[in-house]
Amino acid sequence: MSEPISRLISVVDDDASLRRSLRNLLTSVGFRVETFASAEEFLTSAHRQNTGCLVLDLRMAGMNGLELLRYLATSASGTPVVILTAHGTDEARQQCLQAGAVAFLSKPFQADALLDAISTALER
Amino acid sequence: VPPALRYGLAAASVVAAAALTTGPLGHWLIPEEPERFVHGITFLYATAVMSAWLGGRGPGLVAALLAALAVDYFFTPPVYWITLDFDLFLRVAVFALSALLVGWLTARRRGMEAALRHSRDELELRVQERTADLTRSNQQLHAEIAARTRAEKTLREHAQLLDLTHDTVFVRDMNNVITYWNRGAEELYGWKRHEAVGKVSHELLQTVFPAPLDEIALQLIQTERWEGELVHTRRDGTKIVVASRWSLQRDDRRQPTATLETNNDITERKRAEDALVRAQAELAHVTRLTALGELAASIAHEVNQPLAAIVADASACLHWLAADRPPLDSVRASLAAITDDGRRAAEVIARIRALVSRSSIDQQPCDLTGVIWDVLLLVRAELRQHGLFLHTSLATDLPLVMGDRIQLQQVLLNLLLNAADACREVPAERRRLLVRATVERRDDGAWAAVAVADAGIGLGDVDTARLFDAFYTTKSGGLGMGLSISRSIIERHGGRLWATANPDHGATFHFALPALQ
Repeated sequence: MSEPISRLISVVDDDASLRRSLRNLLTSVGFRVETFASAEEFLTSAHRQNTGCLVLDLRMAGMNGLELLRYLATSASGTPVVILTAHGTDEARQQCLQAGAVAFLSKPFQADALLDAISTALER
Repeated sequence: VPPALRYGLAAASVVAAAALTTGPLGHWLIPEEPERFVHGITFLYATAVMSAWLGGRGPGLVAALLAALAVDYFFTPPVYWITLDFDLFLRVAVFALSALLVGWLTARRRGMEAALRHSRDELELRVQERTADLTRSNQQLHAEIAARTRAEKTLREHAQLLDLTHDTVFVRDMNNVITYWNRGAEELYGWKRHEAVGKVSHELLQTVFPAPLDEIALQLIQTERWEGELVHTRRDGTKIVVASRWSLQRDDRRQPTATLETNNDITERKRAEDALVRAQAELAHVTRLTALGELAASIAHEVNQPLAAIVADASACLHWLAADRPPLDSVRASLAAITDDGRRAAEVIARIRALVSRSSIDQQPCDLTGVIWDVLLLVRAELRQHGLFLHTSLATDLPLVMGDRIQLQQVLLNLLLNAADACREVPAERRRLLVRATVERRDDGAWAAVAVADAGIGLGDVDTARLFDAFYTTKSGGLGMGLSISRSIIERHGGRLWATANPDHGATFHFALPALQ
């Protein structure tokens, strides 16, 4: 398991239950966490700039995860993105990795795998 | 005869008698004087009596007076002289009394004759009247006999016609005893006419009724008709289903007298219908599995989301519990959330299992609001995937309907997936769906109406008449079974499924089901 470090992790997921549980998991290991119900909400948030790692869902109403990932890549934000999706198809994985995601995890996931991916992302 | 004539004739007859006996003829016939006098007196006396006999009392008295005077004048010495003496008085009295007696006898005889005539006339009148009455009665009787003969002939012809029909026709009295049994009944049930007539029909045919017999009988008395399906047993023991129509017969006093029962054997048709229902149910099941296959990714998402949350919460709890002073409130809250998420995943699984497990039909009182939420739970991820916004407007007083929950879910699932398809190519702002449930009050009672409205590509040039036909599709990969099956499901529930074009964009598919009474 990664050592807890006090960096801001932003979670974008339209499922309230998942936002709450990811906040619990990440705060339990010492991360600061902000959650957002949509890509638009994240993009307009003040926390966007100081986000150390973005945990992003793919399938969402409005702007979806892949669109946000591509937007962040083109805007050269440099924020590492971990994709966390319930639609873990090979095609989606390939698209996300090509668009600059540092990790692609399928729901349900192993908690350690997520924490490792975030740690790796933060170290980049 | 007028009185003057009668009196005249009486007087004339006395004069004639006197002239006859005293004239030349009298002298020639009776030359001797004493004999001629005796005969002359007798003749005149007879004339007076005859006048009384023929003319009555008055003319008789006149003739008697004249005859007495004539006797005194012609035959009593001194002849040709009237002597007013006791003899004359006595003769007048004898003649008058004789005339009166004869007149009285005559009057009495005539009175009796008149009474007799009157009685005879009256009798004749009565006889005529009675004869007329008898003639009339006779004519009526003839007419009645003719009418009865005609009626019997008509009845025979009708009975012969009833024998010609392929339908089973029999008549039973108010105690359900069979009084007529046609050839069709003989052929269908196997009992000959003479075997069936006199038997209680429901016992002979071991009738199974669709409702209590009392209720059926009441309806028959009230409306004079009843129609329904019955199960009968034939002579060989085989059971048959018949479409039965009953008509009540009443007499002139409106008293029910008999029931005419016409039955059609629909056993084969029912068997075919049942087979069709089973085939349709199987087809619906397969179509449901296909739709669920299309939804597999979305459904996996619906299950994986709560599972991911459970994993995250459980891991958080482990981390917290490993600390020196675990934040127990947070642990407790997470465990509660785990329970909720576990239930959420289980609900999705349960709904999927319900949709895939059963192909038989199970009609029960059904809450359409529950049906709608069950389906929305399964499709919301799919809708979200297509960037669709879903709105709901569900009446809180939606009545229960009688139906198969799974099949109704299938209809709604089909309509929602069609709507999502219709929105695939339209701009983002038009990717919206509305599921609306309302109560409609109609003449035949309340109906629950559900509508799925989209702002998609709409019906366009689609042939709305063929929209619900099997194998008719506008989708490139579509089978054209969804709407066809949906409509057959709704119609089997006694409802209607139809489509309308929206005024701005897209289409609305509606279905309505009669509320459970």
